[in-house]
Amino acid sequence: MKRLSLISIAAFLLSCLSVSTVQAQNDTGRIMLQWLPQSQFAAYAINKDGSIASRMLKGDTGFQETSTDGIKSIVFFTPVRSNNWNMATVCPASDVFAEAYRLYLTMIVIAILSIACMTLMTSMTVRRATVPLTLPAASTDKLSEEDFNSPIPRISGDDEVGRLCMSLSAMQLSLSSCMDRLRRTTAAKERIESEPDIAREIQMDMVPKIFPPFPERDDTDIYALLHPAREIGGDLYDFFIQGDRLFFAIGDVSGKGIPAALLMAVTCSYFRSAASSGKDPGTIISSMNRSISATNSTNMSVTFFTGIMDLTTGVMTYSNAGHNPPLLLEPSGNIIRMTPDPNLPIGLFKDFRYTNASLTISPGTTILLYTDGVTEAENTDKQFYGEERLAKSMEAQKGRSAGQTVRNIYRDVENHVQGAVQSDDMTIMAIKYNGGNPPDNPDRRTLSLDNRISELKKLNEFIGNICADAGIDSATAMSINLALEEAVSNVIFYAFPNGETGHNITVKYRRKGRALNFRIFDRGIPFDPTAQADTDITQSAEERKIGGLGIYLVKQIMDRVEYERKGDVNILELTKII
Amino acid sequence: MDLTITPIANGKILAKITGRLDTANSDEFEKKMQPLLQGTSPDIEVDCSDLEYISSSGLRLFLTLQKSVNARSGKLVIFNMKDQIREIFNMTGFSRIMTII
Repeated sequence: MKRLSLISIAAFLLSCLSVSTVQAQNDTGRIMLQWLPQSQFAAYAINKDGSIASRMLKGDTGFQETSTDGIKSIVFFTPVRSNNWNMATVCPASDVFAEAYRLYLTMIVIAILSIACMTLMTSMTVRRATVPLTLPAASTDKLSEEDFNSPIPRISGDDEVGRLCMSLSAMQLSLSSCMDRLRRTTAAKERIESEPDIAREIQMDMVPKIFPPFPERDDTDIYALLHPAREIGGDLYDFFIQGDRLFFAIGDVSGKGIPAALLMAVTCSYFRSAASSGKDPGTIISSMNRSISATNSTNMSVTFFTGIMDLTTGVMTYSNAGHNPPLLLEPSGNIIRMTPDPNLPIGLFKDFRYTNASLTISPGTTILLYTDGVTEAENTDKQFYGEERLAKSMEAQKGRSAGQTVRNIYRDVENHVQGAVQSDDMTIMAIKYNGGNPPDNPDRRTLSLDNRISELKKLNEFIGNICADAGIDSATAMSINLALEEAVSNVIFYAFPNGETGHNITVKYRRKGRALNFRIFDRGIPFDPTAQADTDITQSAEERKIGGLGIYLVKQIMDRVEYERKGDVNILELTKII
Repeated sequence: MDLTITPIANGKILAKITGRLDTANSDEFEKKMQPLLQGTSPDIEVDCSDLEYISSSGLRLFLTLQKSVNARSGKLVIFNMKDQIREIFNMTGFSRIMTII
């Protein structure tokens, strides 16, 4: 320690203290002073309150801080036993603590410098460690944007960043493959979810949907409705006419979804091919059963009812393969539940022989065929619609057309169900038999032609007979014949553009008083002859076109020419007033 | 249906149609009338006294014949047509473009 301003005072305290205490101090009463550069301190009595002096008089050894003119000093004091003195040394506090302050300051500076250094080093270290992370961070941003193809930076090294980049690379790969899987799974899920739509499409493609199916026929009126459940139940129906024989069928495949829809489609195809043989219903079902059983590895089965009705006589033969028996609504309003042999559903035993039965349907009777989706339609209280209610609902359809019957019954089922989820397909088909046309009625006649020019001879003969029976003069007869020939040959030439023959054209004649009415039915492309512009008959021979003459003649000869497209049938109605 | 073609005086040709000229046999008639379209003489007389019926396809062939005769600056005369046949020619405006006596 440097002694720059150290003042040592040896004092015999007298002047500033009470006499009694002075006495106690020293028997000679002298004040011993040693002058040092700050000797002015001697003029003061060490400190103002005398506390130092009193402690010194007590013979204490110690030190105490004091302040003179704002300058802090420290007084060290101790008695000197040998000469009974008290010795005090007054040091300016600044001198006493100068080294300590310097040390203190030095330490603060060192501390600050150390902190600064450490901060700098730490930040440099952290920066060195984190700067490489910005690249993978950018990559993770890209990953989060589902960009799995931008490359992850390759940072070599075994440190955390290097490992992080490797992990990111691996994550990118696995994320990318996960996304691929997710996409595939989603697509598959969508496919599965679209399964009902596919199944429904398959199903609806197989059944006839155009109603009325036979607008050219007065003897029968058919309407059918298939309402698939969300998960297809495999309901089916079909009908077609060969000559005067109506083939019809209804069925229900066990199972649901696409398998049911596929078996339904197969069943429909087998029915068409088996029925075209023209054999009886039992033989048709037996043949279908053989074909379906042979390939039925999943042991699915089909309940099926088919019948063939002779539309001229009303005689119906039918066969059942475990299907709900149809109901008959007689013209009187009487309901008959048919009781066919139940036999077995199709697809179970390959060699099962299906039995036939037959019944004569009286004109005005409606046959109602349905699937169990109707009778087992549940309301929210799990109550079935049931056969009783179906019979009751059917009874109320007395006198109604097939279309009205089916729609009304369906509405009644809907009323029962009251919005409960439909669990099975629902099919309702009504076949109304109106009776065959009496062949000898001169006022109602029907001619069926193939779409070939050579068939026009039959038409000429047909019209000739009608005109002869109606007592029409030969000139009028000729013009009627001409109009019909033009109208029918127009169908033959243009309704079937691919030139295929084997299409039926039906001409129906009926007479009401003086009106002779002819309707021509064909299933060709839609064509409305009445919409064609009239031929300009004022043109010169050179200007005249070849086409359009026939229709023009028809319009000229007939009193009324009307066209209608009903379902897939063109109906041209010609009326001549005589 | 039949068509007989006979040359007559002054280089004219007489054609006689018998029976029905309808949609079913118009193709056959078209073949038979080829000599009338290609012959050297463009003056043709058509005897329709035995024509019993004609359809639009028959009318078209009459139109073809008329155009052919016109093109060769000849003359087509149709005669002895039955009333009901003439009615059809009237209806279609053919009697305006053909000489029917």
